[in-house]
Amino acid sequence: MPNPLASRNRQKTGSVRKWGSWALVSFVPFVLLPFLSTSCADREGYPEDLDYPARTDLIVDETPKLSPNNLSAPGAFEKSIADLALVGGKILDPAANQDPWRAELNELLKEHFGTPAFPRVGASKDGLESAANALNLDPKTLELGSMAYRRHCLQCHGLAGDGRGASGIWVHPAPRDFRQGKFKFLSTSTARNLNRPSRDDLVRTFKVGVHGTSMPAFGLLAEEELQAIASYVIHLSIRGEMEFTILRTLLKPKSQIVFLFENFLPDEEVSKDQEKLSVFVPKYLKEILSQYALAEKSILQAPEYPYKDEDLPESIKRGHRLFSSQAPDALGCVSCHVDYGRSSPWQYDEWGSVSRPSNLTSGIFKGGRRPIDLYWRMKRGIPPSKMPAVTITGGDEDKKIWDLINFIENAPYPAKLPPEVREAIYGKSGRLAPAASSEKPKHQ
Amino acid sequence: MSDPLKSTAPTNGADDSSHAGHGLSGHDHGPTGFFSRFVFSLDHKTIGIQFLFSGLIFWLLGGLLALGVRLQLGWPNQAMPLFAQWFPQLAESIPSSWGTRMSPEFYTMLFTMHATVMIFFVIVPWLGGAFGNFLIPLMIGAKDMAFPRLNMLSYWVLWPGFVFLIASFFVDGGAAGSGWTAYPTLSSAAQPEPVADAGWDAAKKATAEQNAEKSPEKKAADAPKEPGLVEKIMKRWDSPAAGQSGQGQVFWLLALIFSGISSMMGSVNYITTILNCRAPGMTLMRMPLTVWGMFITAVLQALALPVLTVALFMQLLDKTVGTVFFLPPAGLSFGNWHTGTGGGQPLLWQHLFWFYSHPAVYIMILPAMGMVSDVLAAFCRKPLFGYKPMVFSMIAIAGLGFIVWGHHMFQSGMDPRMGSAFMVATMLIALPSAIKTFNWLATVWGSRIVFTSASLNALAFVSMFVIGGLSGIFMASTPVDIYIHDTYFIVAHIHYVLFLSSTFGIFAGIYYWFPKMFGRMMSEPLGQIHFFLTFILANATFFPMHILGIAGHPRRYYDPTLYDFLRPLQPLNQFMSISAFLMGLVQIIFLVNFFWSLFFGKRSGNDPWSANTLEWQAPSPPPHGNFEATPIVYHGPYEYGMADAPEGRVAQTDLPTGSLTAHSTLAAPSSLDRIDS
Amino acid sequence: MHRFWSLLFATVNLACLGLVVAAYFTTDWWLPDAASTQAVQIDWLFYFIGGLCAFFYVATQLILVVALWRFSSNRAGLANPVHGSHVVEILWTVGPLAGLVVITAVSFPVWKSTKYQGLPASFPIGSDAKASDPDQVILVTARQWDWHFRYPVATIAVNEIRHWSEDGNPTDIVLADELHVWKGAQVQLLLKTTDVIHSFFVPALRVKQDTLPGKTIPVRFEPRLSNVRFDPQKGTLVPGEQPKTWELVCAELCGGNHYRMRGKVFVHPDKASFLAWLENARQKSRARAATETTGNSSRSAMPGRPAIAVADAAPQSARGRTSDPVENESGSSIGNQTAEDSANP
Repeated sequence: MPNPLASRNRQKTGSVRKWGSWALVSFVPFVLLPFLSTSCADREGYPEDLDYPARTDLIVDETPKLSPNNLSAPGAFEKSIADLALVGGKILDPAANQDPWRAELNELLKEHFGTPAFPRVGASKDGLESAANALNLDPKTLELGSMAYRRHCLQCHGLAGDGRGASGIWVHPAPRDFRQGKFKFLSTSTARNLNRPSRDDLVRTFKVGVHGTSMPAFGLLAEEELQAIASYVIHLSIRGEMEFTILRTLLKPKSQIVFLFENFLPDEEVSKDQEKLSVFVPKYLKEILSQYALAEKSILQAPEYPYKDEDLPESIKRGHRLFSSQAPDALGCVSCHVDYGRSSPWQYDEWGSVSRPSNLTSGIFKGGRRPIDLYWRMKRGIPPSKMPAVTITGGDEDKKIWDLINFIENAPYPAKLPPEVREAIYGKSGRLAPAASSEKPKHQ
Repeated sequence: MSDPLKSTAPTNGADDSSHAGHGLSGHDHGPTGFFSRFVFSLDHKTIGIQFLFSGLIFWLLGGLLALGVRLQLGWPNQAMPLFAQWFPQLAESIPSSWGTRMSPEFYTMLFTMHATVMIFFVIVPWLGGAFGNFLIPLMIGAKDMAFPRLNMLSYWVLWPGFVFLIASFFVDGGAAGSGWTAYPTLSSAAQPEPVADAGWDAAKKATAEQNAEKSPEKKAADAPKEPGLVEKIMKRWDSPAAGQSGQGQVFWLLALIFSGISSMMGSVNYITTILNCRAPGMTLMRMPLTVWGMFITAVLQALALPVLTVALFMQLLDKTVGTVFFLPPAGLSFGNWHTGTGGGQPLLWQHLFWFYSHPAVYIMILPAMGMVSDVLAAFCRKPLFGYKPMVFSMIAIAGLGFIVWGHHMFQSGMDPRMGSAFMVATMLIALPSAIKTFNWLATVWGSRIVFTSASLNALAFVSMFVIGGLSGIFMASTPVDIYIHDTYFIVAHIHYVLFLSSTFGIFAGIYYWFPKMFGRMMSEPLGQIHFFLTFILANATFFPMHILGIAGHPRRYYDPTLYDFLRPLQPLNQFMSISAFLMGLVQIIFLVNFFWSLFFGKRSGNDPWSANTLEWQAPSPPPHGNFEATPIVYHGPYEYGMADAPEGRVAQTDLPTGSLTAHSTLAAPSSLDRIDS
Repeated sequence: MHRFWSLLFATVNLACLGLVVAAYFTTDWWLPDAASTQAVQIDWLFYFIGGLCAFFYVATQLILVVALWRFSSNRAGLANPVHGSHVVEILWTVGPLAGLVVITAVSFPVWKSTKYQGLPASFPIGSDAKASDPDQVILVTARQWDWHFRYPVATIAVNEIRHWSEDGNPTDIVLADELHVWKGAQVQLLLKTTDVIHSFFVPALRVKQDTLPGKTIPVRFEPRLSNVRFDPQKGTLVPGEQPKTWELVCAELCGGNHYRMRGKVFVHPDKASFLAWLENARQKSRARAATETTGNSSRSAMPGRPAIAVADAAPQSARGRTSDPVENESGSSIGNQTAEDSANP
């Protein structure tokens, strides 16, 4: 019996074969494409025609005197900045001002700091090349740093280092906004009001991350890559600070360019016809670069550790007293780190976000957990978060500071504290020491 | 003696004699009016076609999302050339892109929504909603489903789901991004306590003091602007775990709840129809395997979907109202954000979710298996080999499918002894699938294959299902799963069974039943070219994923080039991306064929394929009521190759004595009549 | 025309098979080193299952290809309308069933020995498979988006592990993204997380375990290959017997940055090397003085192009497994990567 469908089988086989063969033939070149494209990869940096955008997000001029009563909600960081105005803070809105000097400022920033794909520090006519190179802010390093930043840092810290990247707006604390030129975890001296990070401060933060925040550790990147990113971050910070400083001064009503010179370059003599942004920018840049150079040479050294292992419990006790006692020769840390940090009050930091003195029983040390890190936190404070530098009076400063550090290091471990300290922090029903060790310890 | 041609069904008061010869629906020619015929239709065929077209739109959306994933994986660090121009809104709302690259969050959204759309809004509606609805009454000789209104509702209840799904792309944070599996606590973490409302009371007080001296206009302008109620409520859903786990996740949950309700309605309908509305002589063991597939799938859906729906509600409550079903006792920390304390377990979600989602994968393949059996038998001109083993295999797959869900959780922290138990069941479930494959091969062997678009896709199903099924055995072995869980090996397996099997099955079904649905033939050359190119490109896109998985390439990775051991695999990633794009382009051929044929295809007759099953007795497309008179069934569905039959085949309604009279349409009392009354 | 389709099916399947074979011989396109004892067992299982599956794969595809070649509708006559065969059904039920039973039977002991540790001995089924105490315990905390490894320096008794995992010691060394173990050690990791589900996956060790918020989950393994050695003179790690990089990845979606939870696994050749490294790390983590800065001494432009934009590295030539130096591209040693250290040249 004939197959009723047989005729279908034979229909149009010719055209199917023809078209199918063409389709197959045309497919072949595409198979080769991946192997071709691997060799001529697109430049993996920012698009060359991309510029840093002019700043449009709000500037926090003054944080409110009122204490916040809670954190900003996820995704509501910008709104919380705007709301600072409602609670007594002072906010400036760059988007509301479109005066001609804004355009001039953007031009100057581009001239002196380049674009994301080709960043630099200082225009060629500024004569700042050697200063920039000495800080590893040469264009080659910055270009590599820009590519690495785009790959590793962009999604949190944003294009201009504003901390408002796609990931960044959904974490708390917000990623660092580099544009005020301020950093938290510094190892440099506070002399002459210097508050610049050393390069190592930045690289250390990259390598270790910031425990207790969403900043992960990047220690597995190559050393050169980390150094290049540090250069680029410094570049973003300097550029941001330049923009921030100028905007913050000039956006206020009735302000003039001369205020910039008066406030930020008080030692410079400027004539009337020099009161221009195009004069201010290179001069201020030079000042900033010299501050960074000075910071590199001003790393704080800790005094030598004066104790032996058996002195530790007594040292902890003394440190505890320094921390929590209200006596005049004690430091009164507990007034901010209320209940050892477990009930610290919220406060605004200089970026307008909400934070609080850290919980010292948690074992989380954002700036690093080594003794030298703790020393630096205490010795020079954390100015943007309003942690003051510790000033010890009554002699024996070297010993006292180590007492305090020993106390801080051991405070999270109730089992390792002397009994009275443990009781003071964790109460009578606090956690006790574990069962006595078995005779044959087995583990490293 | 009553006229045997006359229906004994009550006719709602209409005069019997004047409608004699119009069959069962003699009293009722169907609804008139545009809305009741084409929009809110109660006719299962129209509803099936509605599912088909909705599925088509979401198929395109799901495919575009997948191409976005492949774009990123193929070129992880290159600048996206047209991204900012094509998606300016996204480029603005994702500040870190600026035409440079998509953000990692956008990428997680892409693969999450790709899977969600494809599973819940494409494959399930196509297989169950489109084919199930259209074919079941036709293939069992019924005039419509048992519950036509419920049927209509099952389609329209999907629409709120569509709305929530599409709306989720536009909310703060973007569409859901915690995977289609939506594991807590990434998906469920709710806003930390206390929630900031910028201290409204304090703000108002401070502002009142500040504003005391201002003019009324300035006071009004500077007064704090409270957000609207809807905005306030939606902001409460934002999550500390991830941007997309907030509003987007809530909308995702709502979309899936509606999809589940639609399927549950449909499943009740199908089970009732198949059990109660079969034509006389259509015993269960004479039903085509398509109907068996739909039937067993409906049972799976009815039993498993309630569990998923409950789980979705639980997560919804966790996110909106503050319950703690999935929040561990100590709560969670995200930097400075700390959720409240909990009392629940993240693992609970996984159990509930997979209790549905494992049967779901069988829901997504059993109908296709049934359809492929029908298509193969028709085009091989040979009976299906092993009808009863095929039926029992499907039942075994479904039954065992309820006790294997833990194989998705081998590494999850579940007690490993449970893992051993699930391993045994999972190994066993490979067996019925293997039996089915061998039966298909035995059908093809010794046959007389007619190569058409439909049969080619069905043959490809059989071939590719072998690969998908065998790769499953690696995962079934718990120790090997330690290595390949959450790698691309799993992704390869998923796509071999869902694309290269189910979707080829769907293509086969479309090419085969398009004439019945629309009365026209699809273009055969275009169909064969589409098959040829898709077959090659789909293998090119998905087979190398096995290699990636063996090398340890994890799933859901935005930039694998960060890793030394993954960088060498990048050429494979690029190759797959290029293949995927080409494959996407080739589907245009299918769409052109489909839509052109809708209007200009050659008219088919009732039975262009000389096939045996009942739907081919009805006109193409069938009218309201499907059959002129209730068919009576005398044979099984696959009587092909019959030497003494006129066309070498015996249709289901052919009289058994070899008489060459027309197919029987004796209007004997049918079970349908009982339902009518 | 039918032959064309038969050939299409044959070609596509041959291409797939060919890719598998090519991958086996291409560097880094196949299973990584079997760096632990369980890796060897898992690999054996993989090949065993692969062999059985390959047999069924080839057999079924061959049948299909031949059927398409021989049995088109051009062939004369009608098909033989056979409806089934009991014998054949029994054969192809029992055959695969036997295969599946065997696979299950050989899989179970491996599963038991890898994952059944820590189960209470009182439970009748599957009591603690690893009777021996671990040689090394490390607390691993996964968080969005890196790994913290807490190494105890003080000795901990077995019955104190639990307390230690909850409380810790001030002398513990906490490092990010670096796992140090030694060859032949019975290693126990305790996995924790405080935010979302992550998954600890080291492909080379064939170790994978999800971390669950609210639980501490133990993982046991024994490394059998060593990739680094600690050089006390240099004070850094240098390449060891198998100079390969073994990486740790996160294998459960944990947010947008899930893809960048990268870690490295360093297997020392013996306990002595590990202890020497540990002491060095301990000293660095107890640093009380500012270490020498690196920045000032090399203020010239960076030498060469750092390891940034290498997304499109062509595959290494297929000469079998060549050793992949564990040093990074700039040539400096791994010691730089230790988290706390910023001073190593």
